[in-house]
Amino acid sequence: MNTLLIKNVSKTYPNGVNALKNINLTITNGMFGLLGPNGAGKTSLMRTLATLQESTLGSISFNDIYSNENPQNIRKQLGYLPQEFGVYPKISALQLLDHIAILKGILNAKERKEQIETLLHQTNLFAVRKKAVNTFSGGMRQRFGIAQALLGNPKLIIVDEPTAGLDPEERNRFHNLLSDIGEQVIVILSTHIVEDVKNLCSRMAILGKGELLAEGVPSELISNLNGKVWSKTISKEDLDFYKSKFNVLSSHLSSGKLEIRILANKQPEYGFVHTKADLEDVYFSTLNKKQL
Amino acid sequence: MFKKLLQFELKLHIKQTSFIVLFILFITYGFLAITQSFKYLEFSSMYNDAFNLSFLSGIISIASTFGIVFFCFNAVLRDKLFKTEGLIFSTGIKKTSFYLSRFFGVFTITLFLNTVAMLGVFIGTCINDLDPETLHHFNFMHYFRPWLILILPNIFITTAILFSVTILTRKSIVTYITALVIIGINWICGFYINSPLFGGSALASKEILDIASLIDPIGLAALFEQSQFLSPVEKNQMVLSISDNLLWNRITWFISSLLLLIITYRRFSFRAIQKKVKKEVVIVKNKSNNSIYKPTSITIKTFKFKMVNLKSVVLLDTKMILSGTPFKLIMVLWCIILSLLFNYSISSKEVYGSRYPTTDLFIGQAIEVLPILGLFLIVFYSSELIWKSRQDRFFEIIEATPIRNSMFYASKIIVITIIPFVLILLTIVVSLLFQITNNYFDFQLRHYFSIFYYAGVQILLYAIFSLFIQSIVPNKYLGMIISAIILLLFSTSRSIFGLEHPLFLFNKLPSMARSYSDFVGYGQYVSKFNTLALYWLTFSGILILFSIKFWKRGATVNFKRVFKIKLSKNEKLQLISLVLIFLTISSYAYYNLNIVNEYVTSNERLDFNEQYERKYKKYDDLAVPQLVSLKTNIDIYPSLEKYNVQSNTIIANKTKRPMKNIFVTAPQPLKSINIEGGKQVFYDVVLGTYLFELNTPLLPEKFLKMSYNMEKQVKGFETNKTINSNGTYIQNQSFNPILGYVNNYEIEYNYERIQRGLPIRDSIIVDDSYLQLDSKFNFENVKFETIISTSKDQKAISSGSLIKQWQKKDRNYYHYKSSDTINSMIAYFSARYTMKKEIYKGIKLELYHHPNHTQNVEEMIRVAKRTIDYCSDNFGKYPHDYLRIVETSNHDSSNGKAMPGVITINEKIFKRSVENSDSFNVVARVLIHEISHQWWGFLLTPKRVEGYMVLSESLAKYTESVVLEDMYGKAMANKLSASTIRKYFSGRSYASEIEPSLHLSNHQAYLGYSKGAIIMSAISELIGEKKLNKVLKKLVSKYKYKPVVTTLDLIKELYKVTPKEHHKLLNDWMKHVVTYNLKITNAVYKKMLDGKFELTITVSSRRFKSNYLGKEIEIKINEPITIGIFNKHPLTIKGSNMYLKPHQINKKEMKINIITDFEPIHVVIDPNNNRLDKNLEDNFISAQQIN
Repeated sequence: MNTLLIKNVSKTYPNGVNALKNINLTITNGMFGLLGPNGAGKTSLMRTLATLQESTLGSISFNDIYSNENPQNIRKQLGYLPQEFGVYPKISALQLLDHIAILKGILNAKERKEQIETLLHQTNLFAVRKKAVNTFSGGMRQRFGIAQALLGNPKLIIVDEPTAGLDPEERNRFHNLLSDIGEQVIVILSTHIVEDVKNLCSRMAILGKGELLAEGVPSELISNLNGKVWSKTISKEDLDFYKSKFNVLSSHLSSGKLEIRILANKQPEYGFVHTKADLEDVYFSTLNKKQL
Repeated sequence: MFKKLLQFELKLHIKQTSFIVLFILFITYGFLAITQSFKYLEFSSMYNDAFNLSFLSGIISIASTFGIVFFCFNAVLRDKLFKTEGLIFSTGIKKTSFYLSRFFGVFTITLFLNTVAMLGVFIGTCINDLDPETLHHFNFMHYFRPWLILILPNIFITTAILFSVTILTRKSIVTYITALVIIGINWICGFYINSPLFGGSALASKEILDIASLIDPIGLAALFEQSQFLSPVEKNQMVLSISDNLLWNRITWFISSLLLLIITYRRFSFRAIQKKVKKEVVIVKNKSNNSIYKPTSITIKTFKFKMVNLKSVVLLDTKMILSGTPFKLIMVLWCIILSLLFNYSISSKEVYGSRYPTTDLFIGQAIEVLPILGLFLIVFYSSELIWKSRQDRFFEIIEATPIRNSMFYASKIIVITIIPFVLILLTIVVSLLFQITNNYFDFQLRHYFSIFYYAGVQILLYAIFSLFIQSIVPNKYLGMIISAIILLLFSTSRSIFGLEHPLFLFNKLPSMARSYSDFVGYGQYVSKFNTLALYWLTFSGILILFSIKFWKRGATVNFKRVFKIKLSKNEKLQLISLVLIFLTISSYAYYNLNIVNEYVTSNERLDFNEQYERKYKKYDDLAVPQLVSLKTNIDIYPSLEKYNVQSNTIIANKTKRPMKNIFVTAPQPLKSINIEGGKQVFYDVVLGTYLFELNTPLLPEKFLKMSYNMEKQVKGFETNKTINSNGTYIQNQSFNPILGYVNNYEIEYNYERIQRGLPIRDSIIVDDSYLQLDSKFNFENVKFETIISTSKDQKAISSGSLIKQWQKKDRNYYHYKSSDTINSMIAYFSARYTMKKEIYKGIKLELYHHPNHTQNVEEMIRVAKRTIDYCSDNFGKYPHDYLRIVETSNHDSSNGKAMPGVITINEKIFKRSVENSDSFNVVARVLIHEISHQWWGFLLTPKRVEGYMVLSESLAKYTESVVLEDMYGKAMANKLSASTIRKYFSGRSYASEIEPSLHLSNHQAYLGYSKGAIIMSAISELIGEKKLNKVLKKLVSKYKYKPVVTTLDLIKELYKVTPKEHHKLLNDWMKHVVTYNLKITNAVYKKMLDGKFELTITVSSRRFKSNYLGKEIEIKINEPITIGIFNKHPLTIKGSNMYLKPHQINKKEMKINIITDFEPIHVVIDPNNNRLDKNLEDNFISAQQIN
């Protein structure tokens, strides 16, 4: 069992931006979803975990070894897929994977070759393995990113917005791959797609403005809201009125009309229907709470 | 629209940190150029006169090329860098506005910086502590003209080229190379014209100048061409004129760059940029595959892990950074530069003859250029290496892997070392190819491989330094600018903010470029080089430690993080041990530089001079005894680099006053000194002076014994030119104590004297009567005897007949004794020589040379015989029964020197090739000159007053010319005289004083060597060689061994044999400053009925005299000048039909008719170059036939 302990972690950038505020998390084997809107601090947290930056305060330990003191300990067990990345021009996928595999410490050439080939197959890049990565389309490049993250023997896999740019089929394949691996290792998945977390993660956390807003098992978090979510179809013009009056979680268009969801302990108004809570409600309610 | 865009561009440029750095740099540069009086400001007499301001404008334009590079990066590549291409190009922006705003953005900002630099110059002229007399009053036109003619067009041209290249290729390296090429062209032009920037004394011939002035994109060659013969006064007011070559240069470059801009505009397109990377969408069927992902074991603790990491990163970096076309292009350019350099250095130039393609020649030239090229490449490529993964945004993936920072660092160092390695390897290959194609097979491969060390270390240090800078700065271009500035500053300046000690100047290793000698290799330079190299390498070790520590890993790259770094225990230990090693080496180096050898700064040298004058000026009036006999015992220990001298002399009172006190100045510390019957009053250890009081005064014409002994041992890092393990050359004056107060030690420069509170020296009026006064010091002849000993494997040589030679205790002993009295300027030599001996007309001709330098031995013997013949026949009997020609090592800078009966010839002359009879025979030139000094200087010893150089050097140059003509023909002698005339004019243009007449000239080489030679030849043409030689012979026999003869005696004797009507002319030549401007403006001929030809030429002849202010005023002409008519080109012919007759020229414009028997194709006025005429080219014309 691997344990990642994040204790009182804060990160302030030189320009004064306070990206993480006193984050405390304990993560063990399995998929861990990190939800949050843009600018919530997900990438900051991920970069800090990936030893690409040091936390200003607090400590991170992986299997009882502190990362600030010994970043190599995390690095050697790390699979990291950054949110966005480029590649060197003119270097083929195979060469680049080989290079990264060496940097990660797969010294045995045969083993290296085998794992790279497997990953190329799994990410469906085998046919284009000799093409330069900078000629890849967005989706292909993302799959390449996944392949490199899985090289070696990662015990902590950090993937930042991994499914962005993937078509549904690819996304599925990726999810399967991750959940297979996730049984033995920690996989931290950052995303703003609630559905991904719902489908994949055994535990999750919600970040907002650098703070940890909620943490737990998705189903438990949902059950907290059971019976408190109400929905109603209204006309678009009335949205502002409802927003001012009620705790509106979300609104989406449905056949030209607006369906809003509200968090309330009892039926707020005539016409509101009791609705089953889902993770999205958890997400929005957590964020809204923060605003209150 | 355009205006708004341009404003935006300018704002954007100004906001860059690079701009601020460049701004400070340019203004400081301008300021320092004046206040620190950089070396090149010695070209003119005033620091801020019109010439220097023009010159500085050129230099600033060169420097701004790099500024333009960065602004082009910023203007053109920023869209690519920040991926805003799509955004920008999809707006409604018009191509024209885009193109022009970006171009003019770069242009305006660079022009601004250059103007700022000139402003810095102006500020420098206002705030400084320079001698006010060296500062010109402010004249706006002096700034504005060069700004308009040089700076403005230069910036337009370079911006146009670099901007076009950047926008078309969108690759920073290509822009960078182009900038290097522009500067390279300027550099090569300078090299070919023998520019004063390269230490050239006279510019190259007109043909080369014409080409270079047109080509040089900066216009410096044209500036030098325009100013080459201007006097210092004229330079102060020089108006840079847009005419001739400069005009065409500006027009050609301007039009070409305009065309380039237009073509670029046409070819450049927004679309093309976006298409750069072709996205391939490959649709692949999702084939089922059985392989299942499973983790693979990793090892990261082992050494193997590190090595495999290293290899992989090195290979990848090499592939990305060095395998591309740009790098190959640089290497091709390097080969081209080398070929141009090598070709130039071995080919025949003017009067310098051609060289053998020896290994040391090529290595020397390569080592001079390599570090500077290496520096620019390193600065660029280190930034590429460091920023590549960041620029490609790949760093997060790579840096999250367990590879260690040290491996990253090591791989970058390895990759960057490939650059100098390949450069040096190519240097060797090109050199070898040159040698093979020139049939030269003495390759000296070991010497070749030494470049890896002597040039490689320096470049490696550059690399470590720029990697360090790049690892701490947050911006790539800023890093480039900072590293380039610091490195350039340290490697090119002699002192930085007053610090001139080698332990302060980073990477300032002794230059090995000109330090190689076949006698001792790099000799004493090696230990200094090794220690300083080690010193800076350990210093770099500390830099490496911090570079690794500061390595940009992860997201935060701002500069402040540098201060937050904490060192681990291990790292602290490493740091401490590195610092300890560094301190050990620095104290070792300091000990050797400062303790073992006295380290003297230039200021301390002046302090010495000041102290000497203050303390001992009172002895200036003391009568000084003369040396009359010199007997020495000198033991040379080459392997120990040591010699001992025991000297027993006799000194005499040749004055009319009795002497009570004798003041002695010893340039080298003596072990002891004794004067018979004298008591030492004091010994000043610091200044090396003694005062003796005689018990009984030394009466006139009485003698005394004086003896001294001394020991010299090379210690520490001393690079001693007199003694080394092979090739010892000790001149007597390098150690012998000087009797009397030495006036030469006084500080000459008046402003410095005022600063130090010393009285201003009276300026002496030098005129004819001054020449006749008694002088304190003279070149009296002495009796001479010496016993030299040296190691068994070496031969020892000095003046005097060899009386005895023996061996004792593994040492060779030589006893030389002069039968007659000789000049006391003698020297002692010892080396592993091969001797070639011949007896010629009773004279033992001995040639001592390096065993490998045999190529010119036969020729030298032949020349020596002919010179002895000519001089003996014409000037008087050769005074000794021996003549020793001794090869000296390269470490002595002169080509040759004469001692009584002994002459030295530098090894570089032994390496000149005389195989091609068309090229100038420099071997003969030097040899004749030095041999003739046995007459001019020794037999005829001039009095030590103004004009002495005429009686030694001018006559030696005259002999040189007549014997050369006798041996190799008129064409070679004419080549020599043309070059001599050019040297005269450029020499006087750098003179610091108003030109005196020839007969009153002092140490000015341009008078004694150049003008004197031409005047002697002119006199020879005027009265005939026989008559002139008779005069000289008469002088020799009259003044033999009496150092009293002056130029007045020469002139007096010349008058006696010169027809009355030419006395005035002779007077003009010897006693005034007269120059000519001769020209044939037109020449036509027709065939007459009798088969002869009638030639009509129009001659323009003007004559100028310099007044006491140095200003030239036109005067009348009335003198015979030779006109030559040839049917073949006068430089190619030998004995073809020719007509050579003097014609009386007495008008500014004259028509002359001449009937010839042959077709008069070429007409020349003054064909033998006997008049001081700036422009010799227009003396020559091809005649036209008319009917």
